[in-house]
Amino acid sequence: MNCGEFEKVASLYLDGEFDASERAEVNEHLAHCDDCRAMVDSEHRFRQTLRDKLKPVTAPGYLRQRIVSQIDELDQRAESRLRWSVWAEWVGAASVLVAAAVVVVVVWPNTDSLVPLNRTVDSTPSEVVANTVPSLSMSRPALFDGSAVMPASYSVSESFKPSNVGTAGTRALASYQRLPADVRGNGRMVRRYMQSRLSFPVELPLSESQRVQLIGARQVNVDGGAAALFIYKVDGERVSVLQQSARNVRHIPLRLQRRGTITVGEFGRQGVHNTVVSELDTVTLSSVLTRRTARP
Amino acid sequence: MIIGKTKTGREKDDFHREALVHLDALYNGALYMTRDPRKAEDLVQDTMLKAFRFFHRYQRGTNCKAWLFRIMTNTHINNNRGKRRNMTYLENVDVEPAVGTPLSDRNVFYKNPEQGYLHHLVHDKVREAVESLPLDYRTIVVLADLQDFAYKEIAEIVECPIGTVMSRLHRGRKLLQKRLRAHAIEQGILPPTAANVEDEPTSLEAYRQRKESGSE
Repeated sequence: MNCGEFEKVASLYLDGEFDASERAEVNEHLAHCDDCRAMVDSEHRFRQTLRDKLKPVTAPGYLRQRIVSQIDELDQRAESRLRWSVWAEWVGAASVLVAAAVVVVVVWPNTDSLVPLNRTVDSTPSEVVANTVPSLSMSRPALFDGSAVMPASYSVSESFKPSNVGTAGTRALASYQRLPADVRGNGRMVRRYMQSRLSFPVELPLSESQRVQLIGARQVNVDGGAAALFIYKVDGERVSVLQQSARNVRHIPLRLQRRGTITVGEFGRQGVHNTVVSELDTVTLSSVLTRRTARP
Repeated sequence: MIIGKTKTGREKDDFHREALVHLDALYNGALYMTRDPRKAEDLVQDTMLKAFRFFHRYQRGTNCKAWLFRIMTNTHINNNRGKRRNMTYLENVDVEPAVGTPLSDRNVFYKNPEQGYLHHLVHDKVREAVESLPLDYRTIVVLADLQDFAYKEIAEIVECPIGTVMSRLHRGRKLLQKRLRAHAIEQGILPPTAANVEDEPTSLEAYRQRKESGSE
């Protein structure tokens, strides 16, 4: 090999593309040629300096955290895809009723804000609801009626036809549950983020503890208003809480009801209404909710 | 009751071990591709989630880092498809088309007759020079010189023939060299006359400086 030949293949050599025998041939030439050796040295130095100047950075911790938790979520979703479809229907049906109840609370002209939902849905305000949200079908039984009104023949899938459910709120939980969170991280970060985006006093619906882990939250639209959807894991099970503004609400005691394989419920205080859905049983769920739902 | 890990659970462990360890490398690559930390985060996140979803397609034992970079490159191109017109790699008029084989040139890595000028440049200026490269060249220079991929791996990542990789790498390096020298001249590290390398058109800045110093 001579200098002319080497120059033609120098970059292949320098980039480490040569195999052992090709390298040996070049090395032999370099051993005898000061010029080419000086060039190789200079190129090596230049490349090393370039790398020194462009030191790699570490990916931000929150990025890693976000990716890990989204992978967890994807992984879990893959496992429970079958259970989901059944659940989603239940959630959809439940949120139809809950959304209706919320509308009642918001539009009910009563200045006394302690509005017991079980009564309002049954009585006149149902007309108010029907007028306010025309596409909401109000013939359905109230979810939180003390007498557990859902008749045995009550068909979930029938009540969840999209044509029946015009507004966003009616399908909110069912459809939003599958979307990834806007924000993940510790409670303070999540709360700050949601507070910066929503006009009502967002608060974390559950306190974090060893049993209660906040996965994340996202902003959703329900009945034309912005709401917050919080996703938790309680004892390893998913718990979703939809938080909406409800100006007239001062306190709604925690009510939970088992419906098929899921538990649905609501609670609220000081202008904020929460709808909660989970596969956890009522006793477990209420044990982690009680602290937050105590009367102010 | 403790049950054995589910299939997906095992896959997740594998993913952590084989893919997630390359997060930093991906992030660094993404910073050069997007030139924006926020966009880089999004790109890396999209890439990782996509990779997890398609992890069953990854052939165990092959180069996982290269596989991830391939997903990232594709994702980035797809993300910017609509904005192609605004992207720098079409704006750059001072780049010759990447044709011909680099081996026909008297082809040396980075030609630098003046030793050590790079050493005196602050790292921001060096990063700026890399970021100023058109995307096609930038990607390949970063993959080769910062991520240590072999030509063949780069060819698979950017899905083009090895010959194209080599010619883009050659031209990318040449262009980078030119930009670095321009910065060095700007900073007074190299004399203005140093811009006149390889008969290539120099930047307007360098040209004016040269005129001012009366060397032309």
